[in-house]
Amino acid sequence: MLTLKGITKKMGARTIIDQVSLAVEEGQTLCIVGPSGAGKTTLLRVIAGLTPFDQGTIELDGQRFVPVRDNLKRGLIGVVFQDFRLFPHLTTLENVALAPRLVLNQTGAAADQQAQKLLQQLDLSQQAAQYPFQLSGGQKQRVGIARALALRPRILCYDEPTSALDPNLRDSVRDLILQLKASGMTQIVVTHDLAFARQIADQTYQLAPYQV
Amino acid sequence: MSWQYLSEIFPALLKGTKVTLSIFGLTLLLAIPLGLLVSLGLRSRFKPLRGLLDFYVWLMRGTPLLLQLIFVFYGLPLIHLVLERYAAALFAFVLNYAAYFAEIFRGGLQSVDQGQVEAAQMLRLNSRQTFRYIILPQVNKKVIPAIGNEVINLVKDSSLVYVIGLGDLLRAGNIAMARDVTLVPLLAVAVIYLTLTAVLTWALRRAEKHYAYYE
Ligand SMILES: Nc1ncnc2c1ncn2[C@@H]1O[C@H](COP(=O)(O)OP(=O)(O)OP(=O)(O)O)[C@@H](O)[C@H]1O
Ligand SMILES: [Mg+2]
Repeated sequence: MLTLKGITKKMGARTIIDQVSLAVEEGQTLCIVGPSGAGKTTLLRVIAGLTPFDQGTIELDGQRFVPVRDNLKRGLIGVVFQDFRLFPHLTTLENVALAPRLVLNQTGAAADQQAQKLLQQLDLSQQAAQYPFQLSGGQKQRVGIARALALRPRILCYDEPTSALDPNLRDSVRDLILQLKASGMTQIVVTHDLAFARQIADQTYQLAPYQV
Repeated sequence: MSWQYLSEIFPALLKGTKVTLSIFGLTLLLAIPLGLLVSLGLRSRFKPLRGLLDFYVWLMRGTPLLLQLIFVFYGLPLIHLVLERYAAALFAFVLNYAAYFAEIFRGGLQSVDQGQVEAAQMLRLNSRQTFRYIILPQVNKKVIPAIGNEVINLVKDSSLVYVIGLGDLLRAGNIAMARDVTLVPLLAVAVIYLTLTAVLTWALRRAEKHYAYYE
């Protein structure tokens, strides 16, 4: 239901992303792989609406979709950042409940209740009152996931979800992604870890390295 | 030194203290928000505004507050801009301190990672909400020590209003000293300043502690 056609992104004279076309079906997991500098993060930022693109079109359910405008307004695509980007001055619960309260106009109690439920699903209940600096890498990542899920996105994107974690936590990220997939979530996962991609992907898109 | 004498000069010192505190309080009340606004303007994409504000900060920080005070009260009337003593003092202090606060806030704003703004965008917070709930709390934590230094400076700087004849604490002490030919009033003034700075230092520590709950 998300389709990219001929997406091209330039930075100055350099073409960072060249004519990328791909499609993700509802409930599927797409892995975007490629060597360092291939433009994986940039492509994710384009899809999420953090960076504009130069050529091509994006469609969501057959409708034209301009992420920098539509996603920031409607929040259909959520992002889990490589470095998590949790809000350091807010507790785990507040990190998750803030946007629903401010953006979806939920009452504080409703937002907290929904956030507690998400934290429970992600095994973070014990950490609800803790601040990001008190959390482990894996916990921070799960808070990042809970925070994105709280706005009920249709597609969840991850940038290198295994890179900041101990190798032994890789399996737990995999399980989490598979668990979300089982619940019907559409996911786009950027990774340079091919073995990891093989474990989670329905479909893999190989991004060619940047050509001089 | 007799208690009797102290109690005689006390009303005059108290009156002076009130003037000092009102200059201090009003300057803070006005200069902190103004400084924050200026710091936001310094990051504006509109170049002429940035240039103007850069010039303002440069001018205020590059010349003595005493000169600015004299300029506003004695200089401006030469071009038919007459301000009453208290208003002149407040005007000069607010302009001067806002520039220092702007510089502090500029540093604080720079210290907040752009990634925080992107994370807030992805959560669909608008720019006002992002500023209020994400940026400002992090800026506050960062700037409180530097703001604190300026607050303590301001208590002492407020004695500069002496030069335009405003009846502050220092003036009250000086008048009593000249009239009664004794050092006691000046010592009393020193004790009052020390008390004020001690109270402020304590309050600032509390404020720092308040923001120490996270790293
Ligand atoms: N803001 C930017 N300005 C200029 N060039 C950029 C910018 N961001 C990325 N690039 C360039 O675009 C190219 C692709 O970067 P990108 O971060 O998307 O790669 P990546 O595939 O995610 O790499 P990695 O695996 O190392 O994370 C790189 O050559 C990088 O130097
Ligand atoms: Mg990357």
